[in-house]
Amino acid sequence: MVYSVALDSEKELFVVLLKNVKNIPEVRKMVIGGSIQCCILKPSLIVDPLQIAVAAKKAVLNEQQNKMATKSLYTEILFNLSLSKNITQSLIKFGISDTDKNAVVCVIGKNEEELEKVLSHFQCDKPSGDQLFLPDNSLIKKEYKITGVETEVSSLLGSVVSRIAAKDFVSL
Amino acid sequence: MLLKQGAEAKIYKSEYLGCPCIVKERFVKKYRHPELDSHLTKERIKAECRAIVRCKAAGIRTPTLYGVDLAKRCIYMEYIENAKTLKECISNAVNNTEHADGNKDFIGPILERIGVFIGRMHSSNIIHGDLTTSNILLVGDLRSEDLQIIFIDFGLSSADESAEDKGVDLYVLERAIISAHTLKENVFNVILKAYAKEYKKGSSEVLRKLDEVRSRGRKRLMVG
Ligand SMILES: Nc1ncnc2c1ncn2[C@@H]1O[C@H](COP(=O)(O)OP(=O)(O)OP(=O)(O)O)[C@@H](O)[C@H]1O
Ligand SMILES: [Mg+2]
Repeated sequence: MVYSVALDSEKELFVVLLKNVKNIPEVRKMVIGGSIQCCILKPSLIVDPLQIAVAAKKAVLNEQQNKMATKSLYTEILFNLSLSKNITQSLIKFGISDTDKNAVVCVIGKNEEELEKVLSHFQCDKPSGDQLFLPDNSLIKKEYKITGVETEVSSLLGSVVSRIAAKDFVSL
Repeated sequence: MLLKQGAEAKIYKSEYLGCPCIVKERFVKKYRHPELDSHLTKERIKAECRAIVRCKAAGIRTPTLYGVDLAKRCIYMEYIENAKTLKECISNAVNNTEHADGNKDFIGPILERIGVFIGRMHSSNIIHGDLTTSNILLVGDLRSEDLQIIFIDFGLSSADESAEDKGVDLYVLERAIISAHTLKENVFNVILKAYAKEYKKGSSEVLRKLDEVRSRGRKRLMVG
């Protein structure tokens, strides 16, 4: 299943979960080298596609207003997802690493063909069913500094999304 | 869709990334110096975002924050479906003549829970800054324990330890509850009792300050 949402009048965000990817080191090199345009996230840190959408929308807005902290929309998404102000750490934390088996792939483009093009480089199981994410809730709570009292009044997604949106003004 | 045009902001209902949302757009105040105006507006937006997140961390329900656009002076947040303000709920109950007197009984338990939340807020040093009954939303059956209580409108909030500012928060709410609805004075004691129980370390000093603020308020009324 592919998740998609409009980020503005021209750009759409596409997100898909890939399982048992066999060539992560290879695609990771291609992304870093610029031969494929996408960002690949660690599935364990993603609660819901909305989390990525909020980070991506913020990246698009920062790009329009020339306020990006990083060099590209895709690194900006990774940076926005993290609460850290340290770019390198954010990219390492939320970006896929060579030892991961599963991957969340995000593409910003005009249509789904752009996603298909990117996906053609991955050797993995066929995307199946409705499953979009494989969150590790305790890891997510640790990463976003969410404690027990908060989970009584807010969904995990609500807590995470609010922190991403307010990152520039809040330190917890 | 425009929901409300306040003194500071327009409130719209819209959609953000497919989710029903509230857009709070703070408008330009022409009588203010443009730079000062833009600075103040940004500060309020930042204060609102900070408080929304810090309240959650302290165990107080607030709308989910979706996005901020400082250039457009907008905050995008979760639209709370089927919400009524505390103000609407109290005045419905007070004005409802069809029912017998006992009908107001449900207000007590709600105020008690509100007292707990304000205690949490203040023990985390979050000053609301405009704690009126229009800025507390209720969702669900008023007589049920599952009733949800959501705090909104944090544009005047600050992070402060000041017992005085906390006392003013309580005073503002007390005036809003008692004067606007002609409820008995002791209704507010329900809030204060729950507040003190939740905020063990600092509440006695805040309650002293509340007394000071009250007497200043009365003097002001007498002087006219
Ligand atoms: N997230 C929300 N979900 C549902 N309704 C909301 C939400 N936020 C605000 N409202 C409604 O809109 C009204 C006004 O919102 P709010 O208090 O934030 O703005 P305001 O009072 O105009 O701001 P200010 O005090 O700065 O003038 C609320 O009393 C409530 O009825
Ligand atoms: Mg208000």
